[in-house]
Amino acid sequence: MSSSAVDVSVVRRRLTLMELSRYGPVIGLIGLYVAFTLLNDRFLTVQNQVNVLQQVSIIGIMAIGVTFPILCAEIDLSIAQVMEVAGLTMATLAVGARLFEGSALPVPAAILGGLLLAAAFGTLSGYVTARFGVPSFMTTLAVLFLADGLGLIVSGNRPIIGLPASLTGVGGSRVFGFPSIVIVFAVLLVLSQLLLSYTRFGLYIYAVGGDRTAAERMGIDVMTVRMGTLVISSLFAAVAGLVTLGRIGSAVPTMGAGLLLPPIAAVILGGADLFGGSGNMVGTLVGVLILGVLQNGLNLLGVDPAGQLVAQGIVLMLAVLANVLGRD
Amino acid sequence: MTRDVDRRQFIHGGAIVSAGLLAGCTGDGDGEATTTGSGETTADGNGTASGDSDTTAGGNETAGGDETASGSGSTPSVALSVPSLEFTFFARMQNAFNEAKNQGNIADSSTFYDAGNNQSTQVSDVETAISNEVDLLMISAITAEGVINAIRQANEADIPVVAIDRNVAEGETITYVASDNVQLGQRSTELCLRFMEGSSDADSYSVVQLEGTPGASVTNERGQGFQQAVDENDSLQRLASQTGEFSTQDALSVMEDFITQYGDEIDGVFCQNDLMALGAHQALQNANMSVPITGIDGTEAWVERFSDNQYYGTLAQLPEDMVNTGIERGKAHLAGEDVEDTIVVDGLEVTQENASDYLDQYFG
Repeated sequence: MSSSAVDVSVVRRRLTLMELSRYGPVIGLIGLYVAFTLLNDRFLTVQNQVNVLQQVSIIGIMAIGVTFPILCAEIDLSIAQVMEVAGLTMATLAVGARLFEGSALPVPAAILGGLLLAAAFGTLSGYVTARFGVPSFMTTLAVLFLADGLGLIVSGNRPIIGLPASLTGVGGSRVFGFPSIVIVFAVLLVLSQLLLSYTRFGLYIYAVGGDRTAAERMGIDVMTVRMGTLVISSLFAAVAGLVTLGRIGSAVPTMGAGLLLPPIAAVILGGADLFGGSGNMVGTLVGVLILGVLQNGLNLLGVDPAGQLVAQGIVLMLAVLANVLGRD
Repeated sequence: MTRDVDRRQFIHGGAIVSAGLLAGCTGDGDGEATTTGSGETTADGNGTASGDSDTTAGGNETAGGDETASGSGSTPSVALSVPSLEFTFFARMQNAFNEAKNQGNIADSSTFYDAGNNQSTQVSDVETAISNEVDLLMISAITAEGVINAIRQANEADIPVVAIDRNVAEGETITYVASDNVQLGQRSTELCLRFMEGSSDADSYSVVQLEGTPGASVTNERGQGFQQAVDENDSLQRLASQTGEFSTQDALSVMEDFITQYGDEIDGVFCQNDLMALGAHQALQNANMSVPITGIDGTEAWVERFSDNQYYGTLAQLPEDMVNTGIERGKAHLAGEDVEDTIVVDGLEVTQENASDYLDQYFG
């Protein structure tokens, strides 16, 4: 009798911790909202919240993309550079400048060109990883350099301006007064969650991420799944590159700088397991918002760069600690 | 189970290594942007006649050097070694160097070396130049320390060394030719003040600053110049300052937050480089605001915006001037004259008035 009582208490304790880990990121986000609302009267205004959504959209789109490989126990280190080279390729193709001097393509073709290039990069790292068992950590690192170099070649290492309105419109226009970049982000988020929840492919991603050997024995085509996740993350990076053109109104050869770690951090912040098998898109959204709201709020408060870094470090540490505590 | 553990350990290890690598990469990038000052600048260096650029820049030293050069009438063979042609800044140096060669300013045997961002390549380049017994060695070092031995070898071979844009840590150099980032920051801020005075009549003007990567020497120096300008001009108030990481997107986000927080209080924006000025412009445009913005570097994409707005400006760095000044002072040294230890190449103020001239001349 006594042993069963102990069992129950252990189960209950576990449950609460798991609950906490599950809702930890959301609680953290709400905490940030409360704190910043109290500290600054301009924080919780419609205009500022739209700004926050706009500011997190690029990182958000990349984070959604990189959630797929992370769920599958892979990692994609090339997203920032793939985003850069895809954006630059779309811009140069549409304008007909630099590498593609004098051969301007219609905007849809230019966009397709950028997406195909990104897909090619994802296929390359995905194939080498899945077929030959090279860790995705290494193959995507190789692609990082490849894409970086190609971006410099395509753009001639100079910003490209004078982009056609239809190209910048994807990320830089307003639909009923709402920024289009946020709509792109939201649509991709919903589609990705549906893909994870309601398709066989989504289920396989979790299975392979949870235990690759078991998944293989169950007859899942592990190679295709692993490769697929890397192709998806490259494609999302390319879309991020496309909307970036609209957001900043030009294509800058350094536009991917500093955009590798934030998306990955957002995914982990949102409660996904860095070693695969658990996590979802809603968590990623929360993670992205934590990063974005933190930055926005600190900017509004006028905290200097050093203070911002310290604050970010503290929040990240608390968030990942909460994640891991609840898991074991 | 073991396999699972192994995999986890591997991924774990990988994550640590990756973090290290990333840190390394970022560090590298920063260094680049920092030391070049214009690593993030862009320019197609369609090099122009050196004479022209002197006139535009109003570079006194250079003009003086010209006279000296014509006086001595010799054409030494010169070697110029730069870190990497990946940066347009150095590509423009190469064009200026070739132009000097074509004009007979320096000997035909003069050679240009691109080290491809590899320190050992740069050392080999310098050694090659020394074996070729050049009369003058000009170098923009990848790292100040990495070239010490090569500089010593040049000293032993009695070849005078001119440091350009990036200094060397040890060894004898006859002079160091570079921009002064403190001065650039101050002049750009004061240009912004002039714009604000032109656009509205007020007793005091509030300016926000977009800083570069925290801790980078360029950021500190340009920030110091900004602070000097604020201290020296009573009508100028610092409203806020935040890092935009030298990047257009970051600057855009920060500027949006500034607009949310300060709104119409903002009278002007000083950006520590032109890429951030592009971001600030975008944010203000989205908010239907228009205030003066100034940057530093002379990036083509930023200068091209000037035609729409008379209150946009920048201070352009001129690698062509650096090369020409280096050549002239080197020749002066060879002719037996005393040469200053440090020569500051003044940035060129670019506004709507001279924007098209500037673009034609350096990017045409």
